[in-house]
This record gives sequence, structure tokens and C-alpha cells, in this order.
Amino acid sequence: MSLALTDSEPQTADNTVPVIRMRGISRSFGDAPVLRDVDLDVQPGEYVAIVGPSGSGKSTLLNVLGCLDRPTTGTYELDGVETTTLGERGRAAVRGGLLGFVFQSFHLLSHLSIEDNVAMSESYRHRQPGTQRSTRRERAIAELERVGLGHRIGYKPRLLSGGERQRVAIARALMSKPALLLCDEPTGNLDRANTAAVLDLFDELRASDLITIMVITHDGSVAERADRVIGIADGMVSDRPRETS
Amino acid sequence: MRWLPFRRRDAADRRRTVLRGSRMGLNEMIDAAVNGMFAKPVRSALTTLGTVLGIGSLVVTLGIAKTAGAQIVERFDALAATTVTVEPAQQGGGGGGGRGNRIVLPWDVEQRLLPLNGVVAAGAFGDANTGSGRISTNAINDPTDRAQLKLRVVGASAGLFAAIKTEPVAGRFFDGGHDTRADRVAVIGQGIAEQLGIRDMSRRPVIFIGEEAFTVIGIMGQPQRESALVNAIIVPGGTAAARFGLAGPTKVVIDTEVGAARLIADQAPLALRPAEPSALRATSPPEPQSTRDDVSNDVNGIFVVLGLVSLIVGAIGIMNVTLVTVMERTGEIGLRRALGARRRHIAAQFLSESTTLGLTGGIAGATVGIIVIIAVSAARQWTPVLDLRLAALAPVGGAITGLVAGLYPAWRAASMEPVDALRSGM
Ligand SMILES: Nc1ncnc2c1ncn2[C@@H]1O[C@H](COP(=O)(O)OP(=O)(O)OP(=O)(O)O)[C@@H](O)[C@H]1O
Ligand SMILES: [Mg+2]
Repeated sequence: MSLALTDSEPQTADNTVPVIRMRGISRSFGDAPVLRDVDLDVQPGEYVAIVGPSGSGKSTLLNVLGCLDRPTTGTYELDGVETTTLGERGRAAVRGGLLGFVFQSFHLLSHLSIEDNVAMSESYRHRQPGTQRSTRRERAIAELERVGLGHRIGYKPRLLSGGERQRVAIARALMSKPALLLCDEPTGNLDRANTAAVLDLFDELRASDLITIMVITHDGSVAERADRVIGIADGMVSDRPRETS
Repeated sequence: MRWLPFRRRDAADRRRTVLRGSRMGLNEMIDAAVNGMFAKPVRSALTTLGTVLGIGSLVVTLGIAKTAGAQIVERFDALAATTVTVEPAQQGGGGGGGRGNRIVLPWDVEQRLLPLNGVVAAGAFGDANTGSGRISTNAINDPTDRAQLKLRVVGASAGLFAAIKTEPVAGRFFDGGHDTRADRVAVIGQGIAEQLGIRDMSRRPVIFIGEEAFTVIGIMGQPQRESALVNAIIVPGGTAAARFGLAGPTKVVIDTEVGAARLIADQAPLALRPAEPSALRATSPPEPQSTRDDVSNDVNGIFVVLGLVSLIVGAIGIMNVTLVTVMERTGEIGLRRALGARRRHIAAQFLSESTTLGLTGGIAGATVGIIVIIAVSAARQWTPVLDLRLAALAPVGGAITGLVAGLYPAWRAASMEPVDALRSGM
């Protein structure tokens, strides 16, 4: 089954509204500005790489994009929803319903099986009345099969390789059928082969679902496969010309 | 109607369902809590130890207090609560032989009192004045004889033995026939029998009170009431009247049914002396219920404080460990927030974990406590008094302890910012 994102709505609606529309976003910690007056538009289905030197504010930008952090000033519409005025409940609902997160260090719970790790977020989402927990588990298994881990059902994360763990984390992010997948150095802990496997998975996801992906990376090979590369310097965001190799 | 958390545009329409707030089911929370508990089983076990001890000691102290209290009350009830004594209203010194004292009590107390509803047994006695008569086991008055003693001689009605709750250790007690015929028979207390060296009734031993010979027909065991009579020679009232000029008894002892003592105390003077009941003073025990409460309250008060102190120690233990858990699982908290958990979900998670810890401790504590009560009761040969409410409340108490102990850690966990929590890693 494909994701609900493309099931119910005509594509035309998506094309008129950007997934991300930031205007005048800034974020300072104390007196130190990290993001300054950022304007950013990302269209549905785009694959965007964010690059920049360490400490330039990439993670800070991603945290604002992920409604994990509030900007100091500016407006940020996510999938047509103004997020900066949302309260705690609304932001939690946005994170759980519109977004998927993938972290460099996987963030898997070691005492849960991989399918329980994947199914975890369902507790925090509104369920259709009558949804069974077994259905939830089946969906988790389906997501794991999609990322090529069907043969690892029942395993605890510690038995898996780094690449497999990151794919579990991606399956977990997909459980919410997100409009936007936010990845902070998802391949930072992976070797070349596993990095390639994760990037292939991203391509598949974009092909099968209209999913927007934003990836922070230091890895040229990751940025290379993106539609668009944006760089951060001095708190400013700008599009970079594609490096053609 | 559900609340839509934000203003939406056309494209956001499809998100309507997804963006509704969530309701985490209770069973999910319990599931997560149990999972969390078994993630670190040894630590969880050690954490609950404080609560186990707290609840356990509370159950034990309350249970033992109840059991011990029941023992005290049982003994108290059995004796004092069923004892009524009647004496002349103004009592002179010795009261022996009626010298100078008006005789107000009759001998036939059994006939007068037994018809009263609630009287189990009744008897009367009075000290006989034997003058300078000494007691010995042979007729020759030998001042150097060690067995020659000055002893208390008491005239009694036949019902006295039942009224003071005693049994013959040898031979038998005298009856109404001996009394009416003024037979020269005697029942001697166990204490005296030893002094006089009398053991065997089959040889019909004889003692001399002054010049008079009396056949010892029985040895009386330690009475539960009027215990001083164990050191007396008891002769039938009629005999005492005839031989020693005892004009009448000076004390009446009544054994009543449980709960009847007060009533009997009211009725006895009239039954014993219809013409002038005010000449008699009946003494009944203090209200047994109040005694029971006094005893129980004293004991319980101390034990409850001790138990509560250990419970507080247990709560601090849970709080400490839950705080450590919160710090250790900061990354998990961040992750859950990123996955859509609200602050209250995080708070509920840690609260249900600490509550589950407390509940487990409470159940274990109640179990241990009950086993200890049964063991202690068995060792002391008490009847264990197990209050079922206590057994049911103990786990609840444990759960409340865990809940209260989890409040601060849960608040700490819930007030973390997702970004900060995520940065700490897993
Ligand atoms: N909570 C905070 N309080 C104070 N300063 C912060 C906070 N978070 C980030 N910063 C600062 O903001 C700047 C940008 O941090 P950020 O984590 O966004 O960098 P980054 O681009 O992700 O770097 P890296 O590539 O090393 O991950 C840094 O100088 C950092 O010290
Ligand atoms: Mg970073």
C-alpha cells in the first residue's frame, strides 16, 4: 500500500503550496545570532541537501524546520500551516503527523524489538476509532519490509549493523506518512556501502511517495544526489550551484 | 468536536485527521511502564526494595498490632470483662467473722443469682476467725513442727470454685450437701498443699485447724480470680459458721457472660439483698471496648508512624532512581517528543513507571508482611488476625507511594526542551 499522502488528494493542490515557506526566520542564543533572516521555500517532493561548516547553524535550522525549536523571529509555514503560532499541543501534533526525523546516532530504544521501535510513534498520533494494536504492528512490519529488513523482525537493535539500524530509524520516520523527512547527518556513522543503501532508499521513497527530504550532510556523495543544495554561512541560507562531477 | 490546532489552507486539508491530538490508552501506558521496568530488572528490583520494606513493615506492624491487640483483648475479655464482685458498701478492716461488721451478704448466692440472665457462676466467701488455732497435719500440738502454720481459713459457698474459675488438681471440691450438713471437709489451695506436703487424696489426708480435724477432699489449682485463695484452706460456709462462728460471707464473686457484666452489676445488689440493696456495692470492669481501643490505639500509633517512615524512605528511593532514569533516558525523551509526544505523555510515562514500581513493591511488601505475620503468630501461638482490607490496601498504598515519588522526576522529564533532550544522544 502506498502512503496516504498521494491517495486522497489531487496533486494539483500540493503544487500550489510549498511544503516549506520560511520568511525572515532568525534564531539567536542569547546575544549570538545563529540564523539571520532566513527565507526558504521547498516544493513538495524536493530532495534538498544542507551543507556548511561545523557550527554554521545547520542543525539549528533543521530544529526550527522540525518544530523542535522556536525561531526568535519570522514566520514558518509547513504544508500550509503556520507553525510559529502553534502551542505545545499543535507543535507535537505537527511533529507526529507531518514530519519524520532521522538522526545521525539512530536513536533506537535498545530494550524494544525493531518493530516496536518502528511502531512507537503510533501512541502519540490520533487513531481512527477501532484501530487495533495488531494493525499497528503489521504496519510497522510493512515499513520494515519496505526498507529491506523483513528478515530482521523480532531483533533487538544491538544485533543489527549500523546501516540496518539507520534503516530501522527511517522505517520509524515513515510510520507517520510524513510530508517532510528531516535528516541530520543520517549517513555520518555509516560506511560507503551503507551510505549508498540509505541514499537508494531515499530515491525509492521519492519515487513511490511524494515525500520531501531535507538532509544535512558533510558527505559530498550525499549532496550530489540531491535536487538542490543549500549552504549556510554566517547564519544566511543560499542556494548553491550543483557541483557537477 | 475536536480542536483543530491551527489555521489551515487548502493543501493542509488532508492532514486534518493526522493532526488531531492523540490519546494514549491506559493499557499502552501500562505496557510501556512494564517494558521500562523490565529494561533494567535488577535496578527495578532494588528500587522497589524500599517500598517492599515500607509496605511490608506497615502490614506487619499493623497486622501484629492487631493480632497482639486481639490477644490482649481476648485475655482481658475472658477475665476482667466478665467479673462482677459484690461487697458490703462500707467495709471494715479484716471483715473476719463479722466482728463489729454488720452482716449483709447471704450464703445462698447461687440460688439468688443464677436465675439472672447472664450469670454463669456465682459464689460467696468470707475469712473465718480461727483464733490462735494453728494448722498441722497431726493432732499433737508441737510448736517445733515446721508443718505447723498459721494459715488463712475461708468459708465458702460451693459455687465459689466455678465463680473464681479454678479446677481441682487432685480430689474434688465440696458441694451443697457438705455445706448444709456442715461437714468437716476442706479444700486446700495448691500453695498450701505443697507447704503441708499433701499430694495423695486416696489416703484421705486430714488436717487440724486448731483442735478440729478436717478431711482434705481436694486440692484447688490456681484460680483465675481471687488468686490469693490459692494460699487458703477453704471449708464449706455452713461448716465455718458452725465451727468458727463465721456469721456470713464478705464477698460475692460472679462470673458473667461476655457483655453482661454491667447489667449483672446493676441487678446483683437487689437480688442479694432485696430489702436494702444500697448496703451492697457491686464492682464491674471498665467498658471493655474502651480498653480494647486504648490498647490498640497505643500500639497502632507507634507502629503506623514507623511504617510510614519506612514508606517515605521507600518513596525517596523510587524518586532517586526515577530521577536517574530520567537523566539516563534524556535522549529517549527527546526522541519521543520528536515522534509527536506531548509533555503530558512524557510525564505520564515516568509517572506510570514509578507507579508500577510502587505497585510491585506494594504487592511484594503485602505478601512478605502477611507471611511474617503468620510466621510470628505461629511462633507465639497466636491466632493471626489478617485484615483483608489491609492486604488489599497495601498494593494501593505502594502505587500511591510510587505515584507521589514520580511527580518530581516526571515534571523534570516533561519540562525538557526536545532539542536539548535530543542533543544528549541515546
Ligand atoms: N542551545 C544552544 N545554546 C547556545 N548556543 C547554541 C545552542 N544550540 C546551538 N548553539 C550554537 O549555535 C551554533 C550552531 O550550532 P549547530 O548545532 O546548528 O551547528 P551545525 O551547523 O549543526 O554544526 P555541526 O556540523 O557541527 O553539527 C553553534 O555555535 C552552537 O554553539
Ligand atoms: Mg549539527
